[in-house]
Amino acid sequence: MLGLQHRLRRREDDVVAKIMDGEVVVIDLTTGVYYSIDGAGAAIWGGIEDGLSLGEIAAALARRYQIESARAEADVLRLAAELAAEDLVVVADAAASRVAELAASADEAAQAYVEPRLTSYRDMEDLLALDPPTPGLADLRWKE
Amino acid sequence: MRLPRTHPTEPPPAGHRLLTRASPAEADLLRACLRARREPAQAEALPALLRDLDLRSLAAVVGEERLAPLLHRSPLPALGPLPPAVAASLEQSYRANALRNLLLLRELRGCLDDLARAGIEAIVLKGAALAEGVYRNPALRPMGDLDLLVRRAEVEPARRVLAARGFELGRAETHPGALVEHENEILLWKPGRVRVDLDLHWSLIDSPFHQQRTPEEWFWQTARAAAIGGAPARVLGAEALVLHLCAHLALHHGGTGLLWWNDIAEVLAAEGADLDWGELAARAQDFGLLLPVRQVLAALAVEWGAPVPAAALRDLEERQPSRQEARAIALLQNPGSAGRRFWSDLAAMPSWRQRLRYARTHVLPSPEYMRRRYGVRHPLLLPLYYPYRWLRGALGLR
Repeated sequence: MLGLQHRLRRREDDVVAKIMDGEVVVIDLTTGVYYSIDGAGAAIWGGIEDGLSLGEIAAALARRYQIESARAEADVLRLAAELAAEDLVVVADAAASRVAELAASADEAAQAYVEPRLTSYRDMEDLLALDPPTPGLADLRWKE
Repeated sequence: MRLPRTHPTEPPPAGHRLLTRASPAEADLLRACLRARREPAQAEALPALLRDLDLRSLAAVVGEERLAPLLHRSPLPALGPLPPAVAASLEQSYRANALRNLLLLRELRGCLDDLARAGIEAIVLKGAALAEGVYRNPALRPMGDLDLLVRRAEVEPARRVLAARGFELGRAETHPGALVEHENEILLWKPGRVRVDLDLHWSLIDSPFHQQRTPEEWFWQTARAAAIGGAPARVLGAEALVLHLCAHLALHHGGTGLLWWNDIAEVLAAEGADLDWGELAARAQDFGLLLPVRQVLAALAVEWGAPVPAAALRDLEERQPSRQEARAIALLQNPGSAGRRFWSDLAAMPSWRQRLRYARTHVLPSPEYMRRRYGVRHPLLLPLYYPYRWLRGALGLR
């Protein structure tokens, strides 16, 4: 079971991730499943990538969004458990964090706190051959 | 959408409307949606622009113009008239584009790492550089392929590095070495979860006239450091980027593609204030690209509200293209038959020796190339395919 003392790391060879417009997009290359993490997930994911422990991430989250520590810790642990359950991250060896604070853009820091939410999309692989992937756009009824 | 055909020595008419696959009303709506990303006030005009449109036709244009991911993040889905299924489709397109582009960028990072290890410098061009460096969100900007610029002397070593990563030549050579001698890029591809097409360039404009006039070293000297796909990379400097995109849009795409227009509008919005417009105009004139740069920037200022200073447009208008540029641009924008393009390319070459090699390359390709290109089944039939090739060229067939 994950605790606040743990540090996680992305499964580097098989998982690709990028923060785009405040949303984390994560792809498991072994399964083709696409994940989106929104809300405060970008800050938490950034903390994981930067090598912070879950406790350090929760503390930084509480400071940044001025929320209660207990709430921040619960949200961080819940998201971490979901990421681990999907096999996107594994527990890292204990190591000093590379940075002491969550990196954030000015826009992100100014936003109100929104709970992190992990969503998976399991039907995207067939769209990869298209440029751009435009699933049946012209076949939909554009007027109701 | 195509640029209007103007006499090559005349400036384009002020305020001309660009031709497009979209109807004028559809183009107005799509342009306003794209502009709203940079200018939120544009969103106010959208409901009126949307009111009388045939939305089914609009959907086809959105797909054809590769705009669905950008439209998902525009004010359009929130306007109301779009059924939820359409808004959901735009969102799915955005997400699938994110997925595809992340995989392409991952491969690009591997290519850049391997090239750097081999001591080969590369500049990231077009889609990847724009998606990461200009749009700052790779999910927004579709990337058909990856484009890298290397120095001409390093094409073969770069090709070997990329071959070791699994890239294969996408197009047969008429003779060994002919592509490097006469073209400006090699098309490579790699199979996988997503097929990766990679264009390896050593010159930026596909025209012998421009390859003679363009000192490629200027693009290297003005290149900038950037992070692409999470890896350190180099991209074109601001003036070089605008010059290349304008020339690419006007000469390679014939002015078609709202996405390409929007790319330049995005670059100008991001970098226009710091651009050295005098340098841009001078280089455009030196490189024989004055006409396309003038056409594109004038249209962007009028149709897209792009921040092109009036003084810069005046400067471009007042400069005179050389007679050779006017002729070369006219041929590129009205290529006619393949035979006409062949003769114009031949005329632009600096020496008879080069012309002879170029003529041999196209008129008498190697038997191996002919067998692959035309699927010749019996060796005795091979001689018949040479006149067949010449006839197709004369008729403008590929």
